[in-house]
Amino acid sequence: MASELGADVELSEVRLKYPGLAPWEIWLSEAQERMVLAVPPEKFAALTGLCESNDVEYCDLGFFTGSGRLVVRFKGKAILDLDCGFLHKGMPRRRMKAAAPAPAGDNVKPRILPGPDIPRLSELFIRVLGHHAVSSKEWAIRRYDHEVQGATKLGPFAGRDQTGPSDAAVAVPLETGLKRGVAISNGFNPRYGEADSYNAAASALDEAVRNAVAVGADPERIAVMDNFCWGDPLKPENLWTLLRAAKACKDAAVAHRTPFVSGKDSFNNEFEGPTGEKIAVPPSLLISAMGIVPELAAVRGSDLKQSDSLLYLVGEFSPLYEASVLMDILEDRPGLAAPEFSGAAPAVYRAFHKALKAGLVESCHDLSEGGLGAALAEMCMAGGLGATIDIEILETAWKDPAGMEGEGGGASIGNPARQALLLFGETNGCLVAEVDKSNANSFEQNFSGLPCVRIGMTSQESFLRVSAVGKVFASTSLEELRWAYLQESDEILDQAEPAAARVRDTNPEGR
Amino acid sequence: MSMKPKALILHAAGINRDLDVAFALEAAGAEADIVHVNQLRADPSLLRRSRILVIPGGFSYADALGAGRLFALDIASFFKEEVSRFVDEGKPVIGICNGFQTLVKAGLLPGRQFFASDGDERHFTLSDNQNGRFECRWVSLKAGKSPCIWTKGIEESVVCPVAHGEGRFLASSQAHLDALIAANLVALRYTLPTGEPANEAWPYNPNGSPQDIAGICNPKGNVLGLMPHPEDNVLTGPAGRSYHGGRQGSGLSLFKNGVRHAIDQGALYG
Repeated sequence: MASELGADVELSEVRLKYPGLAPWEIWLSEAQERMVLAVPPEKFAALTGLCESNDVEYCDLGFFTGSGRLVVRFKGKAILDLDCGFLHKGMPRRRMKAAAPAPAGDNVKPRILPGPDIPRLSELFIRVLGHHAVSSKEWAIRRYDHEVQGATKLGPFAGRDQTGPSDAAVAVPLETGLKRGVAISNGFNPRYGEADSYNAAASALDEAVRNAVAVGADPERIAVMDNFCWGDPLKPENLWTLLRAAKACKDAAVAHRTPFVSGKDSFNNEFEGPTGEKIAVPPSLLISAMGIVPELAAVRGSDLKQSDSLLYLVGEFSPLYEASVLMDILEDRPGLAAPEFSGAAPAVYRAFHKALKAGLVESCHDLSEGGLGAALAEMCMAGGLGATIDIEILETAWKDPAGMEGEGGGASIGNPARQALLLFGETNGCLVAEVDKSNANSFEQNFSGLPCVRIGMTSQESFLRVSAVGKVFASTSLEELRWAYLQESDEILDQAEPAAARVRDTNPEGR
Repeated sequence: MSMKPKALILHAAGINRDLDVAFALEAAGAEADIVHVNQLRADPSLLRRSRILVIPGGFSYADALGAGRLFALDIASFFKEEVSRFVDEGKPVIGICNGFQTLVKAGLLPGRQFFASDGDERHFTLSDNQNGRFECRWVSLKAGKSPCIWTKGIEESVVCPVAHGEGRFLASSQAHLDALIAANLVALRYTLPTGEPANEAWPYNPNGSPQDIAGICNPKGNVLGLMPHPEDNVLTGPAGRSYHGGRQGSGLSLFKNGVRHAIDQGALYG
């Protein structure tokens, strides 16, 4: 605050929580819930009146001098007297070393498909929904007040009985005259961070923006913040992953035309292992986004609304096996790659926002951990409705990567490994939308020139089905999905009545 | 007589739903003023000039010594006479969540000793939720047969959130609880989304209150205390929402009742 003007500060005025602090401790210690205000002298009395009427403690710390020097005193005696220029700009530039980690051996190659001996699709649905990255966070969410201030439009739970996850929260500040909302979302995936910090950071930013767009935010009016959680940056390989992540933040933010308005970092997150070795957290970047929702009617939620709606997949669909929840379930190893940023995403999100505003979307959900399969299952559970999707259409939506032949996957319908990848592989830049039949043409026209495929329909039956050319490959009941999704939360909550059972009876079939 | 009755919303450190209830009361036709405890101490006439008193929700004084305890002490120490007169005059008073805890702990709810032998002892309290946790979730409520002016004539379910860790309404004895029920002072009960009794089953009854008690009133019916937050479901249209098939904005009816009562009183007494 005083970096240019300079200031004269008296520390003995500071209100202390406990006595015995040395002056330098008062000056440098971090404290919560305190603020320094610059107050014009003629307004000081008004401020103190306000403080006193609200039981808020305050003190008059000092004044700005214009001398360009920072003078800090204790009981009148100067304990610090430095030139502000020297203090703020005098530090020599620090040189740190970054180095790429040693490349993995030739025999360690990212896999495109899971191995052929994988569980049946219906079992994978259960295992993916029960994975800690996908399963319900109800056990944590219920323990904070997500309703206070009365302006919550879309909370963390979606649907009439609040089972499914929302993509983001929407608050309607009273100051908007209840006309507009603010979407608050985030993107985070430490499994990606471990695999490829550049793609991880780009994915986090894309996910944050995508989540905000899914709840009605205008993609042209979204701002983001970063929150880096890393190991010791003095280790060259940690600094390398940090640099790569920072570069991706810039590239993805420029692509989405979203400004970084603030951020935070936490380094040296390393812990001592059983044999004394240092273990660092995986490179973990949380991106939070805040976007303006210009029309509240565009807030649709992730819960399916009706039977016989059409389901569309929009965006460049490039499901990746490496670092996915699916891989985490099937193999005990870190991922070797993370999903790439989708170049089409900015245009897709703009078109999606247009579709929402035009009232063409009944419900929608983004694809993230657990891929398309998890997204569809969550929409079904939240809405208490079933769906049938055509996996053959998904094949056509997939941009076949090079090197497929070597994996022995082939393009044959019914290859279980390939089906698993299409359903649970993870991709950036994609959303699922529920569209009323009468809006099908308008919806498709809205995405003309952009990736958009009709993948299935919603149904009154309480099953999520995966089919192709008349054959059903998987059929999982909503009850099973809910059980898998809520089981962990129920165990943590240790309730007499499991939520899975509760949801069933509040949501009678065929409501 | 001004057309809009003044509602005084009492504020203290840690109260965080004052703006919510101010919005709800204004939507119901009142003029809402948020007044800090210190402000009211400095000018007690603020209460005399108001026709509705609201003790809002939050974590007053960080819930030190128990939820609502210190806020209740403020009321009992600084405004006992003023508030008692306000209550005795039959003016509408509502305490929501932390405000309910405060009214009970200040002895204003249920506000009358049921047994002569009780003397001044307090026999009701709001204690830790049965599952020992803070919980935020939407609940369905039904108004019971009671003299409560706030719930008068409300037949539809009121659907709104709860957000508390100490909402289990307990009596010092079964006889006291029975007396409260016999006097028809249970103004609101938790129900299933269908409106059927919750029968003390979590999560419909989120805190394990006996008899699904969500809110109680005083014998005169002008003072209501309740754990749920009807002020957080007063909007309809694009900004509104609801769950469990409940009506959007169903919390507003309580505030409309309170405001109407204040207006009627104003017309009577000027």
